[in-house]
Amino acid sequence: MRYLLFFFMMGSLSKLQGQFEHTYTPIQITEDLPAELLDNVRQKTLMETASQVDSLNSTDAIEFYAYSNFALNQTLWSGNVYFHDEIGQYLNRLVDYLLRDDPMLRGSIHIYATKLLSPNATCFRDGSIFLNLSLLPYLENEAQLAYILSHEISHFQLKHSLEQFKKGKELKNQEAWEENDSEKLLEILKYGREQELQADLAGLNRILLSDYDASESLQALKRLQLIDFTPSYPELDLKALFQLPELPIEPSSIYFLNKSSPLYSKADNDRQRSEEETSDSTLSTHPSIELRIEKLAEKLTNEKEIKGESFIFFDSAEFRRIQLISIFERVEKLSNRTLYVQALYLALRLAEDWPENQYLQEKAATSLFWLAYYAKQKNRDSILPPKINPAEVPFDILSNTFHYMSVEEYLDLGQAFVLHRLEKFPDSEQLMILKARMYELRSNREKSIESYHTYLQTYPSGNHAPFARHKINTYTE
Amino acid sequence: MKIPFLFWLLPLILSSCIGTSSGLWIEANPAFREENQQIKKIILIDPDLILFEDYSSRENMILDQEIKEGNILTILKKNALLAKIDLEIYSPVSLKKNQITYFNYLLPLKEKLLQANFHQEISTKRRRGGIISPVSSNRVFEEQIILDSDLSWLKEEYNTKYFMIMGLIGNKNTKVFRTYYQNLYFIILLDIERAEVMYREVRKFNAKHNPGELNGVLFDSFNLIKKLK
Repeated sequence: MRYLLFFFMMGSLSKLQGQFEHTYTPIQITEDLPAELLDNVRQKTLMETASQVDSLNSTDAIEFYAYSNFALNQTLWSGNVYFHDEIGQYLNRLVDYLLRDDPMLRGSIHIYATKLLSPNATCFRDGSIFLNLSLLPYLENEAQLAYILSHEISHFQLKHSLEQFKKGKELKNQEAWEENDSEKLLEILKYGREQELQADLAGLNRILLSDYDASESLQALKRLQLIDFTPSYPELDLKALFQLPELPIEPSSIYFLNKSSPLYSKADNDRQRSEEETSDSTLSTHPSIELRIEKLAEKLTNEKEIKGESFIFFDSAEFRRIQLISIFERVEKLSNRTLYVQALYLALRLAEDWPENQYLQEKAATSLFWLAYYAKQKNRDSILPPKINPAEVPFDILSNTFHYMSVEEYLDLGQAFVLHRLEKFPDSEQLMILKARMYELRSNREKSIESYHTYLQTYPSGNHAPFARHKINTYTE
Repeated sequence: MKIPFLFWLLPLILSSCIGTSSGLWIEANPAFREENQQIKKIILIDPDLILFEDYSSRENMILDQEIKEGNILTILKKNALLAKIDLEIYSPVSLKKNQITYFNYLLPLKEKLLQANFHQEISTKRRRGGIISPVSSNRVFEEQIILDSDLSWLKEEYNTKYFMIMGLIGNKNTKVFRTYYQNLYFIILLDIERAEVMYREVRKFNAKHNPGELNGVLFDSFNLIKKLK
């Protein structure tokens, strides 16, 4: 659920983004696959082992390079990485600027955006940096993003992967090492946390050499606190959310909407924050955000005193656009991962700002179709998020509502939504097919065939055409 | 080889593993038995091949992975051909740099297929109050496993409506001076035109991954696809 909250962190989004006004086309690869994708793990490992400068013995070298090359290969081939895309190009321009005075280091950094749903960034041993698009909406401006990238570059520059490998080996070579030796594992985690603090400070040093406002580095870390933070919301109005003339859900299903308990209050937020502050970071790979902020603030104060000057602040329209693309891409990923309630909610909330965007309505309708399908198969628990009690934020309320709806209500809601949106977007291939499939789900064969025929008349070579033809043939046999 | 994908196969794998050392489980869409003899071409997407056997260390396993994968893919193609099936394989081992549809459509299709397989594993989930138990050895799907139809156009692009995912996971265990080779093999065959899973097969067998053993298993598997009645 928390992954949806960032949408509201962004504040009001500029409606001047024409790219999103009428539809959205998810990012695809349009050029040849990049050369690094076709690297052979074996050859690369043996070559690196032969020419290594990392002072490892040959056994350790093979182990270190084989694992890291394998992990990199897995990530690149996972289907979650964008190649030659607009966001990657933008990120590369930022890195070009950050490393403008260090062409050798710049040549080692390869930066990619990924579709992964957790807000995070990762640096590999060879300088490959993966930034999950889910992180972007948490940030407020380009300077904060530049700091995140600078932090990751520092991991590479300081050879943190290698150092961690050596630390692991050192502990392993000590007596009485066992795979489940918790004390030594905790020591490795502690070492990793120290590396994070090093990367924080080294990252800030690089930002101080740029024209970015260095105080935004501190803000970037503060924004990361929001990842685990539940903000206050206005109450959810389901009718307003679905934008239907009549909402075909009985009041008895809208269980949580009728209760008058207050939404998250400031006191709740403070309590949550306080619980997080006192949480133990012993088992964490990262130090607490509070500690990181404290260390960074200390460094920043000293630097400002020395420099005694104000900083230039970048706030590019391009950053906002990239942020928006990342949210639209998230709708796509949520839908592909069958996280239908999440995809539905995000699509409908985005549609409040872009009511004419066909893509969002198609994604919402697709989610409703599948929710209805699983409900009819008596298998909805498989795809619904768990019930939250008490449900006090809109997404949880919507999600709980789906737990209480009857199968008929699912079907009514899905069908009403598809038909209503089809009136607005009569040329939508997806909505036309969903109309036919909704009738099929309701066992209305006649209407279903009629809808498949209508689709084929409009799109004889459409994406769904073989499917529609097959359905008609099956029904008329 | 994409280890993260395997998570979505856990119900399928577990359902066939409980309390057995070897076996064969197949499930088919009723329509499949009427048309399987006509299958001429199958597109195999990103087979998951994980072979832990015969390696003193995992790094050596990693170094040999691509070679082993290449060898298994050759055996796969050969046995498919014996069943008169043209098996077209799209995997990191064999991909060319201009084959961008792999990322744009085939991998997303694999993800959707795994998700549908995971969430619509209805008949096994219903048993024992949600605890997964072994499925019967040969049955029809009680309810069809269906997908979005937005990729049905791939039928024309690839000149076949059959798309498949498969996996072979092998492990070696030594207990009291005896060595056991355990293997799990699965395939899921999709009819992209129907947007429905047509056939699913899981095998568990104890054998080394030498070409002779694999030949036998794969020959039998492709013959079942073609001749199941």
